Amino acid sequence: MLKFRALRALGVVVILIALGVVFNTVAQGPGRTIKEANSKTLVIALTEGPPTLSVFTTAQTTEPLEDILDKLVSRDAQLNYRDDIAKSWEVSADGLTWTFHLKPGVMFSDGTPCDAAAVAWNIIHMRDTGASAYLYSAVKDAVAVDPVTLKLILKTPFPNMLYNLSSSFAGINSPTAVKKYGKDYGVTAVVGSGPYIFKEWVKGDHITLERNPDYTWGPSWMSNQGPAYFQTVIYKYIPEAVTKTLLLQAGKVDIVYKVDPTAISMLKADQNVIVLNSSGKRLIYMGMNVTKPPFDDVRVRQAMNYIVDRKSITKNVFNDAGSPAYNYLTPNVQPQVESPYTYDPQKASTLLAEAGWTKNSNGILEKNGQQFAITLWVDAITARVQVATVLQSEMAEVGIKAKIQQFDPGSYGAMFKTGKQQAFIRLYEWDNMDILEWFFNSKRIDSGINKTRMNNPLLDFLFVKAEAMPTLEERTFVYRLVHEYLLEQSPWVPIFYPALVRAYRSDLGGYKATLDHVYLLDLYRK
Amino acid sequence: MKKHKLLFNFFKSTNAIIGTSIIILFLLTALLAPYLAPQPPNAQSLKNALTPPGREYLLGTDEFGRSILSRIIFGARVSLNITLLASIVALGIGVPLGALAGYYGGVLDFIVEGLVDITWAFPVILAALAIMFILGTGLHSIMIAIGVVYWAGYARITRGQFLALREEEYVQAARAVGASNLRIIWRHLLPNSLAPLLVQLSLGMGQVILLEASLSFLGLGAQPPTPSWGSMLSKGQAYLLNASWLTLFPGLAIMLVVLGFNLIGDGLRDALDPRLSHTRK
Amino acid sequence: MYQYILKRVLMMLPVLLAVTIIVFLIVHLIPGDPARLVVGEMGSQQAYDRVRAELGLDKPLYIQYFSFLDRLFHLNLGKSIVYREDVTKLLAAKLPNTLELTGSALIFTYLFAIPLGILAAVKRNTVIDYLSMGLAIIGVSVPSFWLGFLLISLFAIHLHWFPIAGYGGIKYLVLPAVALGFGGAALVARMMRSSLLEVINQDYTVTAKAKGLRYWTVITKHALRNALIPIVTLLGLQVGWLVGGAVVIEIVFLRPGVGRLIVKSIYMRDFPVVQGITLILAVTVILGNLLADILYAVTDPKVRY
Repeated sequence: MLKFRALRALGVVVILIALGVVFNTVAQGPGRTIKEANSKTLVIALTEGPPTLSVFTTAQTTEPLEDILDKLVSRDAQLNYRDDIAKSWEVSADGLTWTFHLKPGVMFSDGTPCDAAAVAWNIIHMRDTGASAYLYSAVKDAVAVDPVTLKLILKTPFPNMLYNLSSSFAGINSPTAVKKYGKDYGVTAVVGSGPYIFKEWVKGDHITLERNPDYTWGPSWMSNQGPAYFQTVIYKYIPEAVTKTLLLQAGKVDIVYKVDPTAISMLKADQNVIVLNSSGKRLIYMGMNVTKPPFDDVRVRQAMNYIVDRKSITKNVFNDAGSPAYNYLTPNVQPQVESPYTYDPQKASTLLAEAGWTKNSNGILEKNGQQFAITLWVDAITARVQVATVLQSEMAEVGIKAKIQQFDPGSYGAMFKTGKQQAFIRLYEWDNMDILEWFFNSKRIDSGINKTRMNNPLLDFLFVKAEAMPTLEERTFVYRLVHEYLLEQSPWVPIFYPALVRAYRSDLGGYKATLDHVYLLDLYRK
Repeated sequence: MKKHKLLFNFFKSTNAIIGTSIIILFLLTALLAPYLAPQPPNAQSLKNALTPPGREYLLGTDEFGRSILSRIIFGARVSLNITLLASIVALGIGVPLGALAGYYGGVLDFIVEGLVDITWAFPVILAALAIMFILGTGLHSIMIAIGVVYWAGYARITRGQFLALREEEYVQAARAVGASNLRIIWRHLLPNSLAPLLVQLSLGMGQVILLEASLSFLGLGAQPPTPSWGSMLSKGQAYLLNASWLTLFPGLAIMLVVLGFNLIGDGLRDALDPRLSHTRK
Repeated sequence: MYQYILKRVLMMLPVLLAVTIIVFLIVHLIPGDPARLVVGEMGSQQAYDRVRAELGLDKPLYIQYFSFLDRLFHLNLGKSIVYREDVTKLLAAKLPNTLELTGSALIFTYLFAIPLGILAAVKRNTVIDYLSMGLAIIGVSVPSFWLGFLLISLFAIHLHWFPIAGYGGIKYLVLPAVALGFGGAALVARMMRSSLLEVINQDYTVTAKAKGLRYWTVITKHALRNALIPIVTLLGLQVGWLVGGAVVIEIVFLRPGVGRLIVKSIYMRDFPVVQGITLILAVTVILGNLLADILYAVTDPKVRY
């Protein structure tokens, strides 16, 4: 028997070794000249790689794309719309025709021209089949009047057009390349007219870009409109916060996108590293299903907004890497409105009492013999589970029994289609007022996007109006009404705005960044 | 073997006595948790978050200012629950299947053996992980997942015992006087298979606790704020650099209880197998 | 005998088939949609439908299963959804890291455990024996990842002897190998001790001693060789155990290996990767057992067919 087991063991080992062998064999401030001479390779650390670099296939952030693809319009750090390959533009009085004047001589890196016809093809292709089709849902037609003049003809006025055109998903791809590579486009190749050219993608590890030597059409808000200074740029995917931090300190990484809150103090103490803190475009909130008791009562939902001590969460859960959130839009996004809610458990109890909830002998709220017991959903991500745990104890203080139910992130989104949610923790990342329409329009209930299942004719009416307003001012005005109305209806409890914290080596000069991207055009090594 | 002889052999060993004491202590802790815990296990006090071990909090506090000691004490209940129920699931699947295979043989034996081979073809942690993903997170899923991956061991043992025992004279005799199969299994075969099953059970309970810890570590453990030792470890990992007591004490608790089960298992095995005990002692 | 081998091979076939079905089904039973994860929550329906079709997920389940089988017959494990890379290629990139870890853990196990076991056996019923066997039984009772935490706390954070985590070179390998190998080492040490004791008490050892051979010569030349046989049998169990343990240890020490790949792939619903790796693991175990059975039958005439 012993011998028998020994042989069995040997068998397993032999096969393992054989496999190992098989796999091993399969595997394997100064002037331009000075800046270019000093700037050889730049390494940027990101957390995770994209599934594909094709904007037609994914609506998730695909980081290096901003360097590979140009957009029609860019948006600077102050969130103003500026030129990119469009030099200038004008809108007709009725808001239905937008005319863009393109910079002449812009070329894709495959040698085909990036002219009005190419841009028009991108817009129509995205609208009809792309992952971010919503960008151009207002576009009836895109017409190339001549190589440098593009006319967008809209179905309804759409003042938010510039936001969409400057979105990360609005990069302009070479139509020739898209057609040539078919479904491999974005995986084996991606071709644009940006300052860098896609060179190599080692999946799960890094993407390498090479400088586009012919680039001369940089946005006017950059100091450099010519070719970038760095010869090679490597976007490296490093999921672990600790590793990222250590590599940055060792100088093996030059820029870290999204520094982990736990690493901030350590990096701030390092004089070779500069840490930049900006308010970001993410919001963590607790949503409530307005169609199910007990959250079908607006007073109960309002009460929830009074029981959350956002300042304490900001400090204790997030180490102050961000700010407490009171309303529905992220800090830089208009229209901001004054939230009526503060931390006031007393007021919450009053509201709950008005709604008929009174404490029983065990200190639990009760109404008509029913206990106030809810399930709080959360995706199994440490910080959010921590938020849920704090909320749970804050609810307990006013007599609410909350049970936390964690989901793995891969199935969390789909759970909302079931409509079984009561309260749930979510995070969104967006920087435009239209996010309100996205989450609260009744037409997105079945798809599980409208997770509070808000089905409100007034809101739906306002959304239709807002999206068709001819000017940005009017659009903002309608969204202000929406925002105020939502605060009063209180389907969400906004909790926290995570800050966007980036860090880079202090030997880099010309650092220029927006919420979405660190621009490489001006960047050089001192 | 006579029962009192077995007990005598068992308690002759210091290890077995230590193991039994640990497990009794563990059971008492679980039972008396509300009386033992100095603070309620889920009472948060954010201003006391991450307090090092000291006078007020004997083993320190976690990121929510909850007493680690209280959570470990209440965690004993969770561990006990998981251990018992997961073992019941494993026994409940393994023993009947093993009994059928061993008693009837033939196609049944072929099928059960195949199922055992299939189960053992997958690494335990991956199999449990996959089942957890299918069932969703939570204590019940953990129990089922662990039970399902550990059933095969019990089946193999039962089958082996039955195979050996069914040709014994007293079994043949019982058959000759017309005892039904069920009666033979229940009255003769099962009681005589109990001892090796008990050894396996005792060692297996330790394994259950270790596996629960690993699954919790991979992020699929008990729902907060349930104080499971495994999820305390997993949540504490983020504070390894500045607050190591978050992981130190729950880990010690796990180690101690698993040690207790292992010592008992060892003691039982030695007591059952006198051939080995003279060399081991 | 050939009949026996044939029978074993034939018996293996349904098991293998069942394994392919389980491996295939299990990822489909897990809720969550890889196409949605690729396209993103805000991605359009058109793009979603297109990606689903590209991944073949729009077809009925049994058709998907048959094309899965068909690919297997061509030794093709498919393409990763997340990495857009052949699963075999992906494995080839990660497997060396895992083999390096499990290999060093195995080396640690035996380097540490065999001397400990011998020491305990030779000095049996002394303090040394009690201490080393105490250490051993504690070793099997410790969660490996917790041991990893302790090692990191002590040797990386406080003493700065080793890096906290990461990959590259021996320096990065020591702590994870110890954390992974310790439980196994405890088992081997206990086994070593008891089998050595058994051998020491046997006649030929006593005879050798009586012939006037020196104690240590007897131990090393005679007893040890015989005592090692059961230790080698443990190796098989060890390998399976190490593969499972590597999953957790790779995550604790942030090593880019197969264990981490598979856990991440489950989270990302990267079906082909999960299927590919589990299938390889399972088939390895099954074939290993078959090989052992056959070798055993060939070498041992006492086996009844």
